[in-house]
Amino acid sequence: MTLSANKEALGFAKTLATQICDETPTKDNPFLAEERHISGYNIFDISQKLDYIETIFLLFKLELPSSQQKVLLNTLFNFLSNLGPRHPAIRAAMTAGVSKANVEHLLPIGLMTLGGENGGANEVERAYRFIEKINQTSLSELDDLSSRSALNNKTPGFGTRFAQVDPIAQRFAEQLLSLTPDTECLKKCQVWLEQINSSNNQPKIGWLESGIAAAVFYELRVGAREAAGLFQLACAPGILAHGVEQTHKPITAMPLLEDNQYELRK
Amino acid sequence: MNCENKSVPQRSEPTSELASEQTALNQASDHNPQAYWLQRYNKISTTIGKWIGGEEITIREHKLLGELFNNVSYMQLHALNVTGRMISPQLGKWLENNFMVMSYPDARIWCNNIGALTGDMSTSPVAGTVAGVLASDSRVYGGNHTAKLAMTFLQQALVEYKQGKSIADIVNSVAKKQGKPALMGFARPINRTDERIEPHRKMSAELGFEVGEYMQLANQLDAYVTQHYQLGINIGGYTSAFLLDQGFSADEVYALKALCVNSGVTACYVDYKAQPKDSFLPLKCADIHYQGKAPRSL
Repeated sequence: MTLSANKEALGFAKTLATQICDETPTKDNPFLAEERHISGYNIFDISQKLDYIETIFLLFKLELPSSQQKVLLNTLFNFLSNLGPRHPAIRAAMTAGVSKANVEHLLPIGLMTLGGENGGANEVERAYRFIEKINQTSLSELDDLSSRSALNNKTPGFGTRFAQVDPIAQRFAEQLLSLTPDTECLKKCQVWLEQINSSNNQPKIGWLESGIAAAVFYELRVGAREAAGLFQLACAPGILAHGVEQTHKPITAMPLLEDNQYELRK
Repeated sequence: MNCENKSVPQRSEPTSELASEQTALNQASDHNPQAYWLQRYNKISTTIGKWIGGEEITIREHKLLGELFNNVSYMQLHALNVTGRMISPQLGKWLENNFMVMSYPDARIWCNNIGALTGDMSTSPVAGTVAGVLASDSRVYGGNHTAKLAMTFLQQALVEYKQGKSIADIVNSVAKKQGKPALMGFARPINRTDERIEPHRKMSAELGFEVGEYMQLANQLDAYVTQHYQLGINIGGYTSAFLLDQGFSADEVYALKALCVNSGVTACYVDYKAQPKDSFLPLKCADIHYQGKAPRSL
């Protein structure tokens, strides 16, 4: 059987399709566009009249955000803009920068590192689905969910860093709750968190950055897969800034452990 | 055939690093919550390897220059790095041949398509290759992630089979897509020949590998889905069964085959790197079917 016959049998489309962007060709060159619309809005109007965060929202929701949605997303993106120079994703970009990797690779390197299951985009996706479950559970049944979650130790988006609750993440969750008190999802997650911490004898757990991001994205109903990528997008500025900063320094500007600091175990 | 190499001194099986570290973390945390991290502060603690500048490199207790160099194949070394086991030259050859057929230089294949696009943009060859390889980390094709999924399915299926479940029940307990069971590794329509299966069967026999219990199960599954659903085993299903019979875990193969598509990606990259920009499948505006909102004002 030929490849074209195979493709037809599998139902491959003839053209690409999208709901996001429409381009109008010029009269004399079908490969060139003279107009570009994002979900119906002209790109020149967007560039002049919208805040960047509104455009991000538009790209994923195909509509403009309400004032509260804009505050939520803007606050989250500002918070995640720099996860700190000790974060593995930023350290990866810094290591690449100081070791003179091509500068255009620094951001992808950091973002790939940020894809992980432990606090990365993968955890945001799982946390989104977990938070969805919390929000679909009535308050009277939350206690049962808390017990089961604690027993299974499966609470993506919530936990500890270095054996303790992360104070910056907790403060940010409180800030979000005070800025946008009508966010049902955040409030319910907070109730669940208090319940789980009072319902077992294990060490206390708290919000993780991945959980806060997932809660905001769930509040906006962007979708779990979209949440994973948006988390990476929000964290990108700090990754890039720290990575590029190191490119201006000699390779010796980053510590390299001595042999006596390197233990090879059997 | 056993996968271990007889010509190189054997080492003990690596323990589960994650499990032992988790135990260490829990024990340390009993006394001081930060003890585990303080023990690891400002030092690297590993069982993998160490470079002593100007002298030697240790890999999983083997000496790279004094023992492995010019003695084992690159694939054997790769397996040693990833799994901690020194595989036989025959298994190294089997894997190398398997990599050959996982990386066709055809730019219609998704990861290679990305290689061609990066070539078209004159991205660096490393970025182009890595981008294509990253795309192959997919639930539906590629040979690394899919191998993990297929191996996990086969492991569970063998447990159930040994407990008395029939082949029909195993197949029919899997979720269906368009009325057919979505068995990872066994969803090839039978009118589409996977040209890689028979050469692999021949290679396996020539290299002296016997048909193990996973391959026997895979063959039974293949026969059942062929008869009842017009589906058949593909190279992913075959490879997964073979590597399970050789003692690899699903996670090991996911890591071992992480780069298995790289050669075809790089080939498509260099193809379009050498051509004028925008030459890879140029699209007209009208080629994109817009399904969204009509023009509106802000």
